[in-house]
Amino acid sequence: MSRRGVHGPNSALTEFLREKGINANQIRARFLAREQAENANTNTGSSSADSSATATPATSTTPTAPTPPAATTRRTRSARASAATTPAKGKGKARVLKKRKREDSDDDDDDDDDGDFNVFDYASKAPEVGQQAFCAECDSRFKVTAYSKASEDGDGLLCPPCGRKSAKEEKELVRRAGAEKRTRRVQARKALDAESAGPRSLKDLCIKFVADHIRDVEEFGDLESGVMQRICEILARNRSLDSATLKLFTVPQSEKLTLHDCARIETNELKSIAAFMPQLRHLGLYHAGSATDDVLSYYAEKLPHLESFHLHGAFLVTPTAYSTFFTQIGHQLTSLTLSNTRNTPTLIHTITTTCPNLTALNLSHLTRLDNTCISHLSSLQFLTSLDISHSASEITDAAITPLLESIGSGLTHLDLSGLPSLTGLTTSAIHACCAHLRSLNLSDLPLLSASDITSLFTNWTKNRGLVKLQMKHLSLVDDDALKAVVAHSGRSLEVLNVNSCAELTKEGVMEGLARCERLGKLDVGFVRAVDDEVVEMALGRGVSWVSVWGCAKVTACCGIGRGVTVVGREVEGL
Amino acid sequence: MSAEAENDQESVLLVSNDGFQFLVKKSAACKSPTIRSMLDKRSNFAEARENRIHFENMTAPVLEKVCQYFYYFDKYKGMKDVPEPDFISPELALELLFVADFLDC
Repeated sequence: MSRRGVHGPNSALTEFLREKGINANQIRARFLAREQAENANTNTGSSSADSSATATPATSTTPTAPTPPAATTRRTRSARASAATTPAKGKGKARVLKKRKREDSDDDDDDDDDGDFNVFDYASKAPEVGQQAFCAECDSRFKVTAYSKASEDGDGLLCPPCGRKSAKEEKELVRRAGAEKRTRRVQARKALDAESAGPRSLKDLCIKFVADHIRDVEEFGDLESGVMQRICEILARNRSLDSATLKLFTVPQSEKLTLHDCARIETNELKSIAAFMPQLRHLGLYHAGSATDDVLSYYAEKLPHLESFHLHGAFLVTPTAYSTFFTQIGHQLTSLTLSNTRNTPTLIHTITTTCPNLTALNLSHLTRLDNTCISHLSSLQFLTSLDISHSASEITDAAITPLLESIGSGLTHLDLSGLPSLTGLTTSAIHACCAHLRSLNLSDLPLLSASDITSLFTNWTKNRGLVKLQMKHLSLVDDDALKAVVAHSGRSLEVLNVNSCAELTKEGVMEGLARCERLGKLDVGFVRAVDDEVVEMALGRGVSWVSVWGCAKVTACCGIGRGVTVVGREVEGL
Repeated sequence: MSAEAENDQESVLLVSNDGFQFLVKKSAACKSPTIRSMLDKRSNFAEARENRIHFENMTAPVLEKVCQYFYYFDKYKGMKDVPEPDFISPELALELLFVADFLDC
């Protein structure tokens, strides 16, 4: 205790209590104080003549009369029991007996009692056990016992015959409550075990039907490819894209296939895609955890027209297999995505040497993408779209600046989000090099200050204006920065994300909106200053989609017209 | 028909994009959260005021299947042994899946 800051090993509970500032000594001191006060009370009680009976209920907090029947029987009974034995709790049963005796013998105490009890609630005025009372229902005289019931309306007690009548109803109530509780429990268990009663959803029924009848694919009729793509997305979202339903989409003539969820498609099925669809030009596989080296070498062999290849989450594929794959077909690739997978600096080097024609490259969420890897990318001269976001290794300005100097002029899309070491040097490199940039993502770059953003967009005459700008979680961005953004890109901006830019004020956002002419999509989530007026203004200026999560000032009164979407209003969640 | 539906708060009129009308019990149709929110009085949507929903994205055969599903669900709600539905046909299965996703049911 005396050595502050030095602790031995502790249990989680001790740690929790310390964090909350709960201290054993304080609790003990409080207890002692309470006990002292109680002692003092009882002492005065026993010393003043004839008033010990009144002092006892005063110190106890339990009501001394039977409770109204609104409570369940068990509770009523226990309350009644405690009513009978309340004093016993503190001072032992002897006192109860003494008290009862005194009540029976000293009738003249009653006046004193009333005087003392004026400050207390009605409950303490109710007749004591053993007294005579009149039934609240039939007005007959009876002796109060610990088992006497309180009347329905709460004033007065019931005589035993009347009490017995209500007891039946009470029992029935309890039984029903118990049954309800049991059903609820059964339902909860079923929900947990995923065995629900009742029919399944129409979506599930359709998916099951399609899966069961997959052999007769022709019978499903021809739907246009857009609809089929949408159905593929629906299946993926339902997590029911598996070996059976996959057959719907492996149409031999098709040149494009995107599977948003391959988690339930086995390795052999993945391979069969290449066998069924030799014409494929575009292939996208998400959550491709079952893809192996084998699959990749098979694709390299069987897909001669592949131009665009996107692979997410292929953890099993080794860097060596990737290298072989790119050596074989890298020259024909124009668009490539490798995210959430194993990589080495050598692999990145292989990509840059074997895929010289790449125009779009996405290397997001890689664990080992560092400055060395980034330096290799400078040789990709045709690159127009680059995404190196969320690398787990450190990428600094020192690598980004030379990269942008060599290929920045060609880039139209740049995503640098989630690289926490980047500073204003990067934004000034973007300012200097990226003349054709249309889409920029600077989300989650905590070191960027408002002045960095301001100077990026001030006098950026090289650039004609951005179409899409994401500045999510740039907590330092303020009104001036936003002003600079719209002064430069206001006429072209279609998508703007200022989520969590907490420094923005209502006036700043409205001023910014006033200068945006083509804005269609706006995310102002967690900008607390945003209110109904701002949202209405945005919708009035042609914005068709607004996200307002965490904007508590946007209320149900906000006028939302037809055809526009406002996501995340607090009232909608209630 | 439409005037009748307007007055009748127990049912709702569903209209397909080719003009076919289906008068459905409101409690059954509200199985779909999409329809439920369309009919929510607080939203003040035209659908809620007129008690009539026009589905641009559904043809009559598909909407008919949807209505059949609503009654199928209403009938077997909470029951243990639910028979397999017999109204899904191969030529409409995919369209129905598409629509079911829209209706979120």
